[in-house]
Amino acid sequence: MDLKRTPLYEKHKELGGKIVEFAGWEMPIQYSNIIEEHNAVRKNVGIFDVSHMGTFLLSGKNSYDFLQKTVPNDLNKIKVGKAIYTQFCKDDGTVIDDLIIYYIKENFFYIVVNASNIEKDFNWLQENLIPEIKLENIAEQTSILAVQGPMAEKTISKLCDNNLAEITSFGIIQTKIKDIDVILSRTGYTGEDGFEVIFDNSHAVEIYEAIFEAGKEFDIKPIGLGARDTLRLEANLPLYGHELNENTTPLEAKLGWSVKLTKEDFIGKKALVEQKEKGLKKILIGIKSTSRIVPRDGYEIVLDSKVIGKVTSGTFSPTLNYPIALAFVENVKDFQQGDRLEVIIRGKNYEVEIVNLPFYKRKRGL
Amino acid sequence: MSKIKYAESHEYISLEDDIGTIGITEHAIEQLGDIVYVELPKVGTKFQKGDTFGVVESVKAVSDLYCPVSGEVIEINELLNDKPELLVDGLFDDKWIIRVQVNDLSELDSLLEEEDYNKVISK
Repeated sequence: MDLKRTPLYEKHKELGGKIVEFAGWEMPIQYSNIIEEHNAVRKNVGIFDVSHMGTFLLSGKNSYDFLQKTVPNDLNKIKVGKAIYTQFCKDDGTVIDDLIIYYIKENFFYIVVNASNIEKDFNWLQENLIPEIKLENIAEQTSILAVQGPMAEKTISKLCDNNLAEITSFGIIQTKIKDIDVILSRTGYTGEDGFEVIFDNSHAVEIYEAIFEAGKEFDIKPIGLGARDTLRLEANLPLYGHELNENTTPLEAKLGWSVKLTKEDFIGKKALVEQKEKGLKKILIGIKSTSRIVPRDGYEIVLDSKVIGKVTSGTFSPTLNYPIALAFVENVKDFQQGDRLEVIIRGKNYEVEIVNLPFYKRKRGL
Repeated sequence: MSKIKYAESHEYISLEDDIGTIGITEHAIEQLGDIVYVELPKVGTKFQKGDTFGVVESVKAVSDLYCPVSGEVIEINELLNDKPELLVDGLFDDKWIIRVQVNDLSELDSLLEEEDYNKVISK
């Protein structure tokens, strides 16, 4: 299969990006090094090209009702001008994908899904569609840039007339950057304050350069997928294919806060209600290494000489300066912060400690 | 003048008499990026050519280190226990990983000269 490129491919090369294959796309994994890029987002501001992600447009007079009957989160909790995190679940409650729904205007939504699941999601939505709805896959025409970090607001403020301080977390506005129509949302995947900018592909280079230029005084850095992963993991944001998949429900993945079991029917509700009543067979935990050895995806977790689970994501945390990981374990006891487990790394058992999630939480000052 | 040879798996060995100093190439270090952990063998461990003698962890991945020759470990770079990043930004003298007593010097003949190694990595 031919790999796809975003309109910013040449830009990434020009900036020294090291290109790798990711979910069928040629994307930059890093420009300088992961730790430096990671720290730039925590301390200042970074810009990410996430145009590989899928964007669908859903409109028509039944679109609100359709989404409300489809996803586990409750659209009644948001109004026009807000985005919401949710999942698509199968009837058995397991996760087809996780996504953000942008409520742009009445019966008009953007849906942003994972790059690896675009086709699967689109087909699944179509199978479930009801009349008087238009579903369009605009992934191939749409660019998304994430601008993340404490200086993100100041950076974007230089480019549009809006008072960005008025946009609260998950807020959305339609505005212009360089006279180009964009959707600007206070969302991200880093655990830091920041924005995502959605617009037509034809303007990708122009908008990227404008943001880069505006961010120069704040020492903006281009950020690759490597640091995107370490940032999201520190913030305990799930990655599809790791913490979420078609064998896992959102309840097991500690996403119960986004599953509203008291709302009207949605796909997977019956199974999720039942699971909640019966109790979870597996649960997601956060662990840290007491050494510098990194527990990675797939490594086994041991309690009392018995394998009870597997790591789903692991890395060396640049912010905390020790290895951290997420793991699914059998729900065999009430795991507490400080409990010791072992992880099998290259045939040897190493001690790890359970820690509270998220690993990192930003300080919200004035 | 010591002789340096390279393995396709990106280790180098610098030989003086029958003592080989083994490390990983600048190319490998560049590929790995941020190195956060180096697992070293114990002094006295005997390895066959091609055995895994240690591991290097970067933020994004873990890579095995392969012994380019057969021999016995006589010294390890203990500085790397606390400062694995020396492999990336240390002085040249701090960037080695292990020293081995080489069993069979003829094994070096099958390793690459610098010029050939450079051809391998430029592919």
